[in-house]
Amino acid sequence: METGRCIVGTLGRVLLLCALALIAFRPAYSQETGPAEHSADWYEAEAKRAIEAENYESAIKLILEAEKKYPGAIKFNILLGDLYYDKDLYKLALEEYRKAEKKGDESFYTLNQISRALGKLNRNRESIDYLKRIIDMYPDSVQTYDDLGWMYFKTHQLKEGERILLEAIEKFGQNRAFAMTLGTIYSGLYDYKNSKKYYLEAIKDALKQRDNYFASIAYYNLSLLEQNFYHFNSALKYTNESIRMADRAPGHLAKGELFESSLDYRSALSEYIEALSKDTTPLSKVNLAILYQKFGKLKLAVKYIEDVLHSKDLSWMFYYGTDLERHYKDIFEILADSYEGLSHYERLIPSANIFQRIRNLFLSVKYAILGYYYRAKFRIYSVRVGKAYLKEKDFLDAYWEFYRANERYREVALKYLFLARDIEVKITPHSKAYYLQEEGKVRKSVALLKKSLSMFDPFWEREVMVESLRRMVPLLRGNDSIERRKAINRLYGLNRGALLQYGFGLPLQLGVAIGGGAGSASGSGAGGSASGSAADGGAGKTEGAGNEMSREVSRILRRSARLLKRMLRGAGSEVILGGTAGDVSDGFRYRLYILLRLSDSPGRAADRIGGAIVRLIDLEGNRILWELVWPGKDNSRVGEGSGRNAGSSSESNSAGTSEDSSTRNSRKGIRAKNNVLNSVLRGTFKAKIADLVSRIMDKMYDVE
Amino acid sequence: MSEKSKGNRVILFLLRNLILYFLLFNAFLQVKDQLDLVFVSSVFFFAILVSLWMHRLKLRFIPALSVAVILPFLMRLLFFAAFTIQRKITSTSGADFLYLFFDTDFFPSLLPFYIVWLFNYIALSDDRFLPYEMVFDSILLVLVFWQQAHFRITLYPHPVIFAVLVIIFIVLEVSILVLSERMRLKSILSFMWVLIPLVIILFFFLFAKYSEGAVKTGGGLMKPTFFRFDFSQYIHLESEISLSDDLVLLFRKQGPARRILLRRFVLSGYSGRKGFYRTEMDGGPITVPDSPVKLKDPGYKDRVSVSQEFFFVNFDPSSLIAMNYPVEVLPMVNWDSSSFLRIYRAFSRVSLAGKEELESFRNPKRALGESAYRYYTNYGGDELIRKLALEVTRGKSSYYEKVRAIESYLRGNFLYSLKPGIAEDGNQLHHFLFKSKKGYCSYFAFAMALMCRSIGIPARVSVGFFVNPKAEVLNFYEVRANQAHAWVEVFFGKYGWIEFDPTSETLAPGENLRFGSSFDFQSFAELVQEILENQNKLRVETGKTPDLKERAENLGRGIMAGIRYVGAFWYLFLPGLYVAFILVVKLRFKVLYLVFGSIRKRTRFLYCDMLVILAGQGKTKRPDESHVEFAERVEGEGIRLVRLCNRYLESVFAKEYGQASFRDAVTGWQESISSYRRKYGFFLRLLGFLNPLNSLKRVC
Repeated sequence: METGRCIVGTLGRVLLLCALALIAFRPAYSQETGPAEHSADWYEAEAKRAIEAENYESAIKLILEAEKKYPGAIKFNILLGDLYYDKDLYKLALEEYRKAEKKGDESFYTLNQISRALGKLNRNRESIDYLKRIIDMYPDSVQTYDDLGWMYFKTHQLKEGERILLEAIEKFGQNRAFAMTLGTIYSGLYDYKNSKKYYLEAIKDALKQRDNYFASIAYYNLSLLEQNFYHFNSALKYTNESIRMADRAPGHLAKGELFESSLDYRSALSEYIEALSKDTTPLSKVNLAILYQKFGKLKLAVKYIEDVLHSKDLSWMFYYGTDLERHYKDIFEILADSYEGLSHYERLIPSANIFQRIRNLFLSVKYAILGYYYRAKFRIYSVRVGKAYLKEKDFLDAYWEFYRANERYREVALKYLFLARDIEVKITPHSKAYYLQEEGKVRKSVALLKKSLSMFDPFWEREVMVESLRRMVPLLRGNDSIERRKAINRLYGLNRGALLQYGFGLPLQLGVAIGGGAGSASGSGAGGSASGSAADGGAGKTEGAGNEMSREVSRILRRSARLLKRMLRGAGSEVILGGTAGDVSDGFRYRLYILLRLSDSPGRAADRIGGAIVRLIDLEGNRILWELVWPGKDNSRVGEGSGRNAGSSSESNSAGTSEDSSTRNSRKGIRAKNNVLNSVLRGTFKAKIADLVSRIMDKMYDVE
Repeated sequence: MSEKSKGNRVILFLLRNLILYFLLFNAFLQVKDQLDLVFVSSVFFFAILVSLWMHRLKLRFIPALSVAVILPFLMRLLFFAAFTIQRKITSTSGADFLYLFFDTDFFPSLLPFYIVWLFNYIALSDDRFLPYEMVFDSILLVLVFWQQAHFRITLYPHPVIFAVLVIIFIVLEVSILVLSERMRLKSILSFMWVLIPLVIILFFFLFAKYSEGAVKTGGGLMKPTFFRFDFSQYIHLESEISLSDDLVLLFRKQGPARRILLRRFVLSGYSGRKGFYRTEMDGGPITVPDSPVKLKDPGYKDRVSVSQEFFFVNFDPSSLIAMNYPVEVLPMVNWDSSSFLRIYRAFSRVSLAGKEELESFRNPKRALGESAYRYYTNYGGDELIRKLALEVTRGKSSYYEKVRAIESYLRGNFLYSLKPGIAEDGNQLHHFLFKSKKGYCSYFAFAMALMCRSIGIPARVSVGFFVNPKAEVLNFYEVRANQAHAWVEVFFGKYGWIEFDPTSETLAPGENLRFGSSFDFQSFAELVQEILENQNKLRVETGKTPDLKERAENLGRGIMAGIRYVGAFWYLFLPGLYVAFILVVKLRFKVLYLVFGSIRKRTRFLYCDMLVILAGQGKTKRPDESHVEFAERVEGEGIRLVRLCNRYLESVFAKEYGQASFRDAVTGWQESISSYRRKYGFFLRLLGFLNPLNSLKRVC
């Protein structure tokens, strides 16, 4: 019995030891093997490992294989959806999340991801439906309230946005995200007081939490609000604060816009270029295009805005209060303005021969057609945007868009303009000036445009003053010609780049003289004096020239003066030769003094012209505005590059100008290459004078 | 008017308007987001009705034109009046926009209205318009598709549809000619003589536009291959190019690579006039094979295998692209209704040799052999380039250091520009190296290759695509036309040909390039999705006997290749064809004179030959004139013809015609020729010879 007990006891101990050993070793065994191969967990782990190693091909293969093997499993769709979402492939991500949803996944994460993906794809209405569903299912989700508020703002449902956010504040208490979105919504509702209040609350909270980035955004929004309500100084202050908090592109854009409205080209350009270097959205390019267009750099404007037009990545809109139609509407307007401007420009540039004239006319017609095309598109999009606003009961914006769409049809335009005016003037009385301007445009009324001019801030609203002036100029004809000249002079003083694109030229007193070389006239340098006393040589007459002037020189002078006058007139300028002090009061405020330099070598008249010094003198201010030496340093082949664009790069310093000059030079090259007839005709007297006039125009209307 | 001619006229009328509607519809397709097809079509039919009405009224041209010009505006006034009434009745905003919506369609529709009206009006009034109508239609066709001349047809989902439509267009045009009762076969044929060259010229004009667009938008490296494009086997330096951002292909890579350069061609031949071009030395396959192919592996050192998959979207499907250098190519079977023209997989042995390894190489002449070394160091004897290369590499002792010095010199001292400008002396490379210091990739590659060659370093130019590593999603990369690139390969013995990219990344002032800015996630994502969804269907294509369809395709390809060849040298073929035709037509009687033995016939050929010569100068026998009268008229103008004419008539009508008469005929012909030469100088005679008019007319 004892032996038997002993055996049983020994066996029992062995079994116990075995059991203990098994228990002891089990965890270690499990750790080594992991999930069984080709189990759902194994696929998940392997796919995650492949994603980490950036072996996406294998990862996707594994996930798809797993999905096939475990068709009911949700995690593979989420995993693949997340992978696509991280790679900004929102459409693919959405499909995967939706597959998960179809399989019964109604988790907060999945629904929220679907809503976000829809938002990124600009399918805002559907995104809102999901956000509403999330709030119903997960009423404690703070972030979803803010997201929904923002989406309501994006879709112009401002009242809905206000309601949901006030409800959220009541439920969860105030936070900076709610305050910011609410501020934006009130801004959209033109509720200045509430909007500012909430923005300041958002800033206060952000500063308290040392969230400078958030504060920067809030300051930026606040600056936009101030700008919308014409408080330009406050706008500048808050913009500076925004940049101080975080050096972001939007801050520079807002600051640039302020400079632009005061027509400070250089400062605006520098801000936009700064923004461009930081921007992940096309907004900097849009602003640059607008700036270039306003200041007459039309080709650059087209280049930038077409770049934006052709960009198909629109996911940036998710964070901005715009949508596709508003975005395209703005683009089409810039394109229309630019092409219409180019059409005028091509019509006005001097041509040395009939072939250039035909070419310029062809380009002018081509640009006019393009301008018409984009204007028509702009109008159609304005109607669409207006209808969207109307649907959301944003009447002010809706009426404004309808007005813009129907500007050509006076009755309809005035109807919507007055409807918009009745709403806005109540909110911001200063906006009356803008409505007067618009009414003046539609009615073609000089009186209304003049009245609007007197109401604008002479510093901050120079940009809109230009608009009034440029609309006024074509209406001032016949008896109003002095006033017309004065309006153009004023326009020139505000923005040199505006003239040619609207089809105007600067009224000029023209003085032509000859100096240098054999047989030259004396007094060549006298034109440099600010008084311009020696610049009134006029046609065929040079101070002190008298009998010493050879007949040939006299002939060249007469011919040059005649051609210069004709070409400058062709370029839209009213020109009088010579001129007196009395002419200044008649609107001929600027004197263009041209001192031609003749070479000693005998030959054709064209060969004798060696160069020129050109000065533009402001007779009222009694100062030389600029001086031009023709040919420039890099333009030794004057007259050969036919037409307007020859050698203008010597004066280019800034990025914008050098881009422009490079384009011009290349155009010159192409023309020279392509136009065989030009090669025969270049070097003629007319070609040289055309080249000189081109250079003068480049200089005269260059905003740099 | 007979029933038949009435029927013909109706058919002609329908055909004409079918063609015009085809043109209008294609023009509409280009602005379809802007215009309403119903409105435009209504305008089209309105224009036809107006022309029919005017024809019925027998209005003369000027009054008809005046009415046609005014009529649309009158209609506009009527519509606007109706809109105003509608606005008064209803106060909805919809009525306010009627003016705007009407005008949006109205003004662009004016041009088609006037064209359709004019064509119908003239054709109905005067049958002689028919042949000219065909010419105008062809011009309109070119104008309508002018915007498509961007080496890609975007109006239709596939170029074949476009080609079929154009063929239908041509068939309709020819049908018009055939149906025209005024046009007898002979006059149709004679008209074809004018028409065919015109169509060819228009075609080449369009083709030239395609080529120009392709070269310019393909970074100066592309050439069109009938509505797709491929790299050119020789590259010039252009004075200006632009870049298109069309999606070319998708590419998936597995394996390491320092930089991704997808090579299409190696160009090692060089001449100062032609630039770099492909020669026999640049062997290796350039087309994707029909079945898996293992290529010869030279066994270069320090290379690793990199797998690549190519999905062509808009690129010549037969073109083989791979990283340097491919050792295996596997064509893949494409899935049904795929967005891709061609899919294949390639394995390349990519160099990972670093500075240390490459610095060990010294003697290229020994490694390459004498003749190959001479070939790869041909730099055209340009001493200025050699001088510059020596200056740049001064103080550099090793082979590798010299190559690097040249590469760094170009990258550091030159700027990237799409507008390098025109060289005054025509030498674009000198202009780049010594004056403008700016250019695009081909300039840099040319310069580096020649600088290396000039100091005894074997180098060659490669063309293909560079891949933007940022435009990557899930190991897929997109390649756009603006990524066409040229770089340099330098020989490093056992390490093989190593890539160097001398192109500067610094933009010249005024350049506003954003490589990769056109990366379009959404469309890219759709293509990636398609690949992922069909990944399991991808299998390697095994070689098999081509079926009927494939054989037809091959035949088609062969024909296209032939046309392409002719197209490439059209400036030679076209005049050559013309001269050949003239020779046959003008010398036919001389040849017949020599061939035939009968003296009667020979006399006749002599006379006919003289008449052909005279026809070249516009002197032809009037229908109401006898041969004698004609000969007397010509003789009166100083050209002796009566004697020859008399012998000719004798040979035709006399019972007996002997050797003496024949000899007299020969003398008469000689006299005629002499007097002709006296009357007309060399250039006039040449012009007369080249004048095709009346050449085919029956002269005797």
